[in-house]
Amino acid sequence: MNYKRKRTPANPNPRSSMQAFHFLRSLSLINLRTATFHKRCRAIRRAAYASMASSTKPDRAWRHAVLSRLRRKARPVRVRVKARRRKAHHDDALRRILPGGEAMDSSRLLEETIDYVQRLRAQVKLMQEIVDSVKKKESEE
Amino acid sequence: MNYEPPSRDQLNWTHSMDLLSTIFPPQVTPAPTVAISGEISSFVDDPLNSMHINHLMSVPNDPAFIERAASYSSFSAENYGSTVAQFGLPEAVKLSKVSSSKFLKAKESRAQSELGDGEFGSGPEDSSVTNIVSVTGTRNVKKRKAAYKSKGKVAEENDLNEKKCRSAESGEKEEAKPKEDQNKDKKSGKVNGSKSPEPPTDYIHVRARRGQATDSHSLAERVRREKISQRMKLLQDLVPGCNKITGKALMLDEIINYVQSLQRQVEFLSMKLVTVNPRLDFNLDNLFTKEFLTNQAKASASNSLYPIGNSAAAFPFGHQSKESNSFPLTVSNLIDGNCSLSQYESILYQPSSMESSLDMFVGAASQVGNLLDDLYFGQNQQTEEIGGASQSFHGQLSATNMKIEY
Repeated sequence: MNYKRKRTPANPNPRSSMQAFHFLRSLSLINLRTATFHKRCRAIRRAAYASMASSTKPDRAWRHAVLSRLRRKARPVRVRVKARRRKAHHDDALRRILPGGEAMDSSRLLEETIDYVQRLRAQVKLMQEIVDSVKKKESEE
Repeated sequence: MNYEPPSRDQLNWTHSMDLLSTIFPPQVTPAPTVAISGEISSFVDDPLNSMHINHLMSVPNDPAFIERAASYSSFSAENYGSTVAQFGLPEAVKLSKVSSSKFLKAKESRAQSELGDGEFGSGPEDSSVTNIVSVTGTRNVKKRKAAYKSKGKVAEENDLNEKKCRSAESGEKEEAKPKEDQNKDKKSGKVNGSKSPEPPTDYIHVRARRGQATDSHSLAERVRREKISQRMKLLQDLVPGCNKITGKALMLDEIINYVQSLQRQVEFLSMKLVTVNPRLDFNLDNLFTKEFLTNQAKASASNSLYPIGNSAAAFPFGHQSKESNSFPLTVSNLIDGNCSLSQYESILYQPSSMESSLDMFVGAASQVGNLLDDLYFGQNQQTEEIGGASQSFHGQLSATNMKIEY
């Protein structure tokens, strides 16, 4: 039996590996489950966000917001609107973009944005590479 | 006057650089610093992300090294990173800050013993010092504050400040503490002049103010503003093309645009993936499970993924054959002695520290996908035999209707 499981060295970047793993797994399952173009499109998009969110530490506020938004079909908007929010008028646009960004103060908002941007970038890179590799393979054939 | 005269600054800078070069001689430190930097820089996508600093506890606990690093722990990582000879130093410094709380306590007691009295209202050296405090510096300050909280006496901390200043001779001091820690205890902070607004660029005034014990709001405000500015700096590095933009409002606009563009890219790519998706299949089992077994901290999550991974791997190629005659095609194909398995693993697990493992993985995954395509098309007729040979895997296969969280 030639198949052997090697002892693998320490994964240098477990976080994005986790993200990639989630996404690819979801992708391969979407592949088989949904047929409609639009449904698959939406499902892939949801899988992307889910994989992004699952690989974060649980103390990230946006993770919770994203996952709850994805899992519950009805979208309960549980936003603790703090009175403080009214003052930070320059942050409003960022709050709207960031999932779960409503109930945070400015410094935490920025911190979450940093993390969110990192994940988004990783996700985009991953998806782009998948597309590219498949396209490359197709062009080879 | 809050600003240090520039000559003094330069003196401190050069002097501190000399100290750095002497204390970190190239032949001694490369091993720990490079090791650390390799580990760190490979760990996170963004090397400037110090949010994940708490993961990095596997620092070689060379006490001498940590001591030296901690003594320079208030150096700005970003500012000096390009100029400090050891690139690993800033990251090492960051690490040492996390793990050297004990050391700092020891140092503090040493400081106490050395400086007999708590009088540090002495003079111009302290009063007109400015700091170049970095993201990590201030963040570390908070950690050190947590370590110091038990002491509860400002004098000690300021003594420690003085000692550090003298030992480092860099002119850097610890930042003013947040209000809940310090206000009651500030006896003789440095005379920093009036409540000046934040100085521009990188200079941040550090010393607590004399007789400002009740003015908690300004201190808290200052701390909060500094936190925000640190994060804006981090964001500036994340968002491309933001180096020239100064000012929070413009920066925020840039960030918003960038996030929106990223989100749009995700949508667009997901649409593209729909069209190319039928071509893909991933042998997640072999690529991931072992890795996650050995390396993942999130054991529970990964454990629950194994059956899913296996079942995903077992799905026949393409979405036409929806029947769940789950021949573990991909797994068995690899069992059949593909020499390319080792190729996958070697690709995937290359210890290239600077390269993002994401790239590696995707490269490997695509190759897996490619190979599996070939195998599928080539060995379509052999499925029965393969299915028979792989009975052992059926036990691992969960139902195809396993709910996936998406």
